[in-house]
Amino acid sequence: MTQAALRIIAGKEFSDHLRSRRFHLLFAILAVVAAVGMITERSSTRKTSPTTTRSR
Amino acid sequence: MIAEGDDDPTLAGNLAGMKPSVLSAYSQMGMLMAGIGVVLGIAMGFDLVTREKESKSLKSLLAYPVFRDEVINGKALGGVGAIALAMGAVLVVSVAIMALFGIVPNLDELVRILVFGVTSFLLVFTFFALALLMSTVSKDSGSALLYSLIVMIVLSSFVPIFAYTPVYSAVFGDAPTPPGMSTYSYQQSSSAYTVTSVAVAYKSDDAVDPEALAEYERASREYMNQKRTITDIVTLVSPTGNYQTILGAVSQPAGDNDPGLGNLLGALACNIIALLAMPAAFFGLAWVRFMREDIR
Repeated sequence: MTQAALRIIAGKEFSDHLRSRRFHLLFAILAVVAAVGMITERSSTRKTSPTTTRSR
Repeated sequence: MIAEGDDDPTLAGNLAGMKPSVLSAYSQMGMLMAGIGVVLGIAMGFDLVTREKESKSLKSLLAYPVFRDEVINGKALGGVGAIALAMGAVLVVSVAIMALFGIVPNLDELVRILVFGVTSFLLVFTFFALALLMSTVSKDSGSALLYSLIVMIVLSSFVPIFAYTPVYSAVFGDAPTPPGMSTYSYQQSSSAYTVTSVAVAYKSDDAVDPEALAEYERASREYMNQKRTITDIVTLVSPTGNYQTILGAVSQPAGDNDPGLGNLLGALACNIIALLAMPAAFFGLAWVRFMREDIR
């Protein structure tokens, strides 16, 4: 009984969060932050890449 | 091409021998996460209980055969599940983007990325638990959000200020001056928002007394030890400070002098325990407050 009630409440809260516009917005911002971090690092790595710095 | 640098003794050769690490990208991402993750945690938790109070649905919920602890535990579990899902998805997206660029992390880097994910989750969970506590304490969602933001600003910004040298010097005094040297300090405005405190030392012509030098060394060591202790305590109190300390250590690429991830996590045990204890304390307080709440 206790486990079942807890599971029902947790499941409802979980689905409420996933369906809320606030969660979608923040998740999208997080995903963009992750993507921007990766792409920025990739481009800075390419700029400082040994193949481009090795000029003789 | 990178392998070409192996037998090249020049700087360019050394650079060629260095492998670009995927971890530096996570270091950058972590800096942004420290701001956005905090907002995510507060946004998900600040109205969990107050929303029920405002819509009067808490009374009808408790009219069902459920215990109060099931309600608060269920709300926390649902929120934690959603946060874990979001953080997991973001980690997968980031690894996928790196894979698209042809950078595949090795096993050590994968474990470090996982530690980054767990630490980021703990940071978000800390502020989620704080917002849940404020939601149980407050009468309406607006107040809960306001209190959460105030505590967040105090923990993330005001507390770490004491670790900065100018504030530390103002509160606990300046560092001892070397014998035979005189110092004066002034404040220099480098931008509209930052004021840099500059200390200038100049040597006097008097001979240096060895006893004074020994005294200076002792006082200087004491000052540095005290400063380190206070900085460590301040960092432990601030979840963002703990997160950045762990992130800074974990995101260093493994090299020849690397102590190993196990030793690194051992050295960061205090920060990890603090990052675990803070959400537990916030949730514990929220739980006790909700159990004792008079619901009308």
